[in-house]
Amino acid sequence: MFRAGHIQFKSPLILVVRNLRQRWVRTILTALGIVVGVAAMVAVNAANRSTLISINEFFDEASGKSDLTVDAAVNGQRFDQDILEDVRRMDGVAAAVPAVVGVALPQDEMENWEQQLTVGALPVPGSSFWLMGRNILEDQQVYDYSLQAGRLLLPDESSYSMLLVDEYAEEKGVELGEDFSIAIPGTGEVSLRVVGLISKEGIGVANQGVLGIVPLSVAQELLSAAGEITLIDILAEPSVSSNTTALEDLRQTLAQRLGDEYNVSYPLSRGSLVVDSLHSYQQGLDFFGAVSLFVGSFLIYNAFAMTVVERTRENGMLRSIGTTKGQIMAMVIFEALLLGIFGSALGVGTGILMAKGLVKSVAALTGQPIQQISTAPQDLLQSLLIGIAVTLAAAAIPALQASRTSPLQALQVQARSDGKRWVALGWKFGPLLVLLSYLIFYKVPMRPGMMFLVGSNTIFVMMLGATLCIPLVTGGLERVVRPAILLLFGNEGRLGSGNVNRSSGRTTLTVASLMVGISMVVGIKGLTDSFEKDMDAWVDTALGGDLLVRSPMAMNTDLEPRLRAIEGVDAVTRIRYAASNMILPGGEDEYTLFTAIDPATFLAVNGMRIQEGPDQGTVIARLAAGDALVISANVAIKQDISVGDIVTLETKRGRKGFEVVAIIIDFVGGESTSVTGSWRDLQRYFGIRDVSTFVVKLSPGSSAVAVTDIIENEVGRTKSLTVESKQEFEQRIAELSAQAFSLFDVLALIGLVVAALGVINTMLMNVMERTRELGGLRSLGMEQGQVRRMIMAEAATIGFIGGILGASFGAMLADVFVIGLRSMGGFVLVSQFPYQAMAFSFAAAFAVALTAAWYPAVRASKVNIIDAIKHE
Amino acid sequence: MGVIEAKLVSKQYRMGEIVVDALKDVALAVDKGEFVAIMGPSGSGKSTLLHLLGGLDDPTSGEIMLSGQRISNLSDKEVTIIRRRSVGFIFQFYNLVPTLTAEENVALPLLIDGRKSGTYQQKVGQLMELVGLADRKKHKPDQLSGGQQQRVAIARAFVNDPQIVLADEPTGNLDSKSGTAILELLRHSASELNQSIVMVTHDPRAASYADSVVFLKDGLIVQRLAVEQEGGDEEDIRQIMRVMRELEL
Repeated sequence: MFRAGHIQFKSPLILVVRNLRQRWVRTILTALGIVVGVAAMVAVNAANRSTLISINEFFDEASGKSDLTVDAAVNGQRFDQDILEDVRRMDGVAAAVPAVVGVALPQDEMENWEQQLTVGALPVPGSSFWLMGRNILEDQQVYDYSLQAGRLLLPDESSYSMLLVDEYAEEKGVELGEDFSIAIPGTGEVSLRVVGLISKEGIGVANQGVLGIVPLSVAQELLSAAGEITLIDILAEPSVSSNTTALEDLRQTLAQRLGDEYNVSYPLSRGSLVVDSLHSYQQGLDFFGAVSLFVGSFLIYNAFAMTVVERTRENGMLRSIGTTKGQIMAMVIFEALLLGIFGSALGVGTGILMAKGLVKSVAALTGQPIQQISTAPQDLLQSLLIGIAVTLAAAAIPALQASRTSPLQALQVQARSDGKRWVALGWKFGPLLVLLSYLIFYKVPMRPGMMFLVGSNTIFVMMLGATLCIPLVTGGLERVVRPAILLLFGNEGRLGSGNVNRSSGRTTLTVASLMVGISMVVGIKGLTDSFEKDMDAWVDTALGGDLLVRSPMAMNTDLEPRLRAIEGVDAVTRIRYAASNMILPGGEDEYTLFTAIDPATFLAVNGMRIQEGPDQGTVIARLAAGDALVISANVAIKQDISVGDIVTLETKRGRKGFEVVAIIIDFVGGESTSVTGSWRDLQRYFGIRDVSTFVVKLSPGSSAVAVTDIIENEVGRTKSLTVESKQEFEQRIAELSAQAFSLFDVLALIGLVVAALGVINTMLMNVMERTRELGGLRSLGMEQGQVRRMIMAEAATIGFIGGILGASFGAMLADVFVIGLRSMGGFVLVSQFPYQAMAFSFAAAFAVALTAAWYPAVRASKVNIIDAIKHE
Repeated sequence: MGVIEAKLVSKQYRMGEIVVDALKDVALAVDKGEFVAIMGPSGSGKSTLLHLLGGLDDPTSGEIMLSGQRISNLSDKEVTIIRRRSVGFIFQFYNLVPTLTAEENVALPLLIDGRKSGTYQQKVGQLMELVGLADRKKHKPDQLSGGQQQRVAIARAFVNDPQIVLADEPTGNLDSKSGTAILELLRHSASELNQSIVMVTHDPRAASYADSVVFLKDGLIVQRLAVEQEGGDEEDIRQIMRVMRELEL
């Protein structure tokens, strides 16, 4: 117990609180470092979780109470409704409810229709109208209908009556009792009477509420699907439904009974498809969240190291009056604990706010609106504990150093220099860790599943190695930059730049935090550049034409000669996307996009970027011969498929093997599996005859505007054709990719913010430590402006060194990210050297360092000369 | 008229509710080539007077004149430039910049003044010679002894040919041998180079090197004593000590 007169200090820890209060600027800056780091982690966690929950909730609600669903193995295909009886007869099935779903378009959207796409160039949910035929009596066993106005459909109703979601009806300006006109492919314009409005819940959430529910028989008539259905929702007996094993047994029995042509699945598995496709994206976000905290730990270490040096005399005095080493250490650790708890708690709150911004980007990426931010208490607790643990870990070495303070040091004025220790540590471990991580990345083959775990940890090792190398190069780089600093800051630059060599440890960690922040920006930009470049190349070859012709209605192949006949059109080819499933070696199936091309016309307009396989002509000829596919490279890597292998797809005629004739670079479908086959195979195996897109190539010198006008207003007037130029399409895809990557940019910027906090902290420490020196300089006649310039010159030197190292390290990271993305089965990219990003980031490092140093510089210039020269 | 003059200078400090009179109507003039020592107990106002003479602080009342120019109450920038060009400072703890070599430290005031290095190389060389450190000019402060560092600080104080050099306990942190060398250097500068010097000290022996000793007590000049002999004379030291005893300093 500490005694002072009649006052009793119950604990020496009271000194800690007073120290934190007295050095409040540093306390706030250090806490901010923790806040930002933890916030980034929490935000990423909450955004990821909210996305998953939102997607699952959506599919959960949209699939009602059904335990299992049956649909065609080929996605979206209809099947004979007779099968319904077979399903109903199965043991364990309480009810089986049929539905038929078709795509239509509200009449008022025919004019200005534009297909909305996600990053993988797939349509966004809710961008077309779903006409849903249901048997209302049976349906209510599975779905909740929340009627807001009017009535529900009647049993055996056969009139053109329809239920709309109230929100959608309001958007369209349709009142209860009015007619709503829609255009249906193959049928044309139809008017349906709105008899009831339901709320956007239960069945109303399907397709984002953009749907109309009509009697089953009416839908079958309108969709030309007499006797056919799209989906069966199954309600199991309560005993089966409540028992996962029994339900799985029922699923398997049903699957076996119905055969390969049908899919029997859990309703939620459709949600997991979307979730799976986001997996590597979310892992990436997690990684960057962790990087922010990593950079934050440098700041914390620096702050504590400085505090310990500053208190050498105080600690020496405490030791001389009997404080034990353990007590000294406990005081530093307690200080870290207080800061850690405070900073992490604030970080958790800030993170939740930040998550709101992040989910908007994720929502844009998936086309799935995210209603609210969900956080799990255990996740928040985990982030809180990680924040505290990182703070404690960063403070551990300074705490140890503090405890080793000798009582004799109470008499010393100057702190010990830590330069030699850092250089020795650098030589010992720096190059070794960089080399080790290099070897792991480039020489050790890794399974895709392990890639993220090993890769992200190796990046941290690499960062640590690069950090330890900093003291080895700082002196040299300072000499390189000195002429520039002299030019910018005059004689004060000479004084300022030399100062970076004074406290090696502090300079190292400040440069390191800048380096890591900058390298993240460069790495991400490099990755984005590679992505965009490959995407451009793909659009150029895969979409070689000039105009893309689409329609909300089905387009027939007979439109092709009419398009070709337009003056100014050189060639036309057609494309159809069909959903399918690929049967993987393990027996499970994976959603696959089948892109059908017409071999006869394809090469006149488009091309393929072949990565492995014969030349384009041979590949096209082989596709034309049938039973052949080309697959995208990401699928080839992920599923370990080579040219010559046979892949099996679900088709309307059952499972069918196709020979892989080439591996191409293809961005269709984003991270989803994508294959390309021939038109003939599409007709033969999928029974599809309509066209998704016509790609038109113009004759040299002809006007795109004139041809577009003819297509939209003459040829396609009755078919609601819309024309998009390739440039517009490219731009839309680029915007979508930019939006997806903007999230990473935000996280990299957070890293930079933490780095800036580090620079402020360091420069403030330098100013405080050199108060007497600054007073001396002022008394020798240095003006306030000169002092400011000197401090700014020091920061500029740190910015320069951080910028050079960050840009170089970032270029390496960009390559590592590309390798990672390739190995994780995402996209196939070719590394682009990020010159632009490097130049930009180098300038950014400068700007960050100078901005961050402004306050310390002003503070330095205002040092009271008399106080300063008395300062010890 | 002296090179530097304090005309009825007072300085008050406010410490919370209490107003402390650090200096009360102090008048002091120092002529060209004159070496004045200021003595007095702790808290007598010695350092305050030195700070006011150097333009580091403003008097509450009265004026400080440097070569006939009033320097108190000028703007920070104006007084900084006067300090840079007309005043030299020597501190007890040397206050050298650790990243600069000895000769760079000496040249620092000229560097700050924006002069090109070619113009002052010779001058710096001469001063290094004068303080006996010609062979140590490339050394950094941490490679020099305390006495050597203070000699660098003296050379730095003289490099801008100041009208006045102000020294605050220049020997307070040195052993007696190094201290003597420093004091001889200051004496030499005053006698041979016609340099005006004001030195604050506690040490009667150090004060014996000055031409006169000014005694301060409770913010007032209580006596000014002329020193007969040149530096270190035992009789002079005894005389100074006697005055100190009489004044109960």
